[in-house]
Amino acid sequence: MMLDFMLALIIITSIIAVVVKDLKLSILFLSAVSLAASFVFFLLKAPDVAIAEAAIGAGLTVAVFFIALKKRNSDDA
Amino acid sequence: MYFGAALFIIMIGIYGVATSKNLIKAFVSLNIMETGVNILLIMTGFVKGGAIPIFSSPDRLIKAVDPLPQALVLTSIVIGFATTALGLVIVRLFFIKNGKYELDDSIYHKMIKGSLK
Amino acid sequence: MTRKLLLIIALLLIFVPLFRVFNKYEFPREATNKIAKYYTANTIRDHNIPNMVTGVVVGYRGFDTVGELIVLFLAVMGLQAVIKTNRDSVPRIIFTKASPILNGGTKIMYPFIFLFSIYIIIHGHLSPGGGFQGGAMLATGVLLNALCCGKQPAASVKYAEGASGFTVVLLGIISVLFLGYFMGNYMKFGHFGGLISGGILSVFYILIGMKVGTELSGLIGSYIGDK
Repeated sequence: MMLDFMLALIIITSIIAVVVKDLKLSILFLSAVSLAASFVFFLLKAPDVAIAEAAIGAGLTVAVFFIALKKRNSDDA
Repeated sequence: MYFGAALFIIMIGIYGVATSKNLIKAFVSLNIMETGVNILLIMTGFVKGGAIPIFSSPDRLIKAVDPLPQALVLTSIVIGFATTALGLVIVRLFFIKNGKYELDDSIYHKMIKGSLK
Repeated sequence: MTRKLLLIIALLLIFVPLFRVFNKYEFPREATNKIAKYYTANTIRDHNIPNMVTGVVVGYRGFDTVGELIVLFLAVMGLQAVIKTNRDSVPRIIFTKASPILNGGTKIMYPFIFLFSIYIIIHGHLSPGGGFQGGAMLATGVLLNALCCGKQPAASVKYAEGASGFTVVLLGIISVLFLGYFMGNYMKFGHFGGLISGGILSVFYILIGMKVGTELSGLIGSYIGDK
C-alpha cells in the first residue's frame, strides 16, 4: 500500500516537472522525484541504493543545476 | 502493474526530452528517465518475504533479496550524476555563444548557414 | 499540436508491447534465481564480510567498479578542463553576505557531516554504506561550507585523489599474481563482524571512498571563485 502511494507520487510529480514553464519549479520537482525514489528503494529492501540516491540525487544534482542557471557572477540565486 | 508504473516514468522522461525547447528542462527530463530505469532494475530483484542482504551472524542462512541489481544501480546513479554535470557545463558554453537556453528556429538557421559556407 | 500527438502514438506503440511482456512475470517473486542463491551461500566463505552488496561490488565484480571510476574521472576531468579555459564566462559562487541562519547552522552542522561521512566510508563492509555514498556526503559538506563562508577545499586534494586511484588499481593488479584474477581477496585477516575484517576488500572500499570524495569536492571547488 505504501509502495503504491509512493509510485503514484513519483508519477504525479514527474508529470508536473515536465509540464511547468518556470525553470526553478521544474528543478525543485526533480528534487522531490529523487526523494520519493529514495524512499521507494528503501521499501524494496535496498538500503545501500537508498543512501546513494538520497545523497547524490537530492543534494548534488540540484546544486549543479542551480549553478548552471545563474546569469551573472553576483550573489543572487 | 508495478513494472508498468516504472515504464510509465520512463515514458514521461522520453516525452520530456523530445518536446522541450529549453535545454535545461531537457536535462531535467533525462534525469527523470534515469530514475525510472533504476527503479525498474531494483524491482526485478524483489522477493516476497525477503530480507535485507546483510548477515547478522555467520552461521544463520537468511532468505535475502537479490544483491546483484543493487550493485549495478549503485554504479548507474553515480554515472548519471557525472554525465549530467558535464552536460550542464556544455549547455553553459551554448548560452555564452547564443545568449539564451532555448533551441529556436533562429538557432537552426544560424547553424545551417554556418555549415553551408 | 499534431507533432505531439504523433509522438504520443509512437511512444504508446513502443511501450504497450513492453508492458505486456513485463506483465507475464509476477511482481513479488517467490524464489530467488540461481545466481542470487550462489551469492547468498558463498559470501561468507569467500570474503568473510556481512554485507552482501559490498561483496558483489568490490569482490565478485570489482572490474565493473574500476570501470565506473574511469567514467567518473573522465567526466570530472572534462568539466574542469571546460571551466578552467573559460574562466571569465562560467558562473562562480561568490559571496558578499549570507543569511545568519545559514552561517550559524553551517558552523554547527559541518563537523558532524564530516565525521558521519567518514564513518559511512569506513564501515562499508558492516552496514549499508560504503565508498560512493560516503564520498557524496563529503562533497555535500564541502558544498555547504562553500555556500556559507566561501571556503575552498585545500589545494592538496588533487594529490590525494590521484594517489588513492593509483593505489586501487595497483593493489588489484597485485591480486593477479596471487590468485589469477583481478581484485580478489588475497589477504584475509580479522574475525567476522569486526572493524578490521574483510581483508584487503575493506581497504579497497576505503580507498575508493577517498577517491570519490576528493574528486567530487574538487568538482565543487572549481565552481568557487573569489572576486
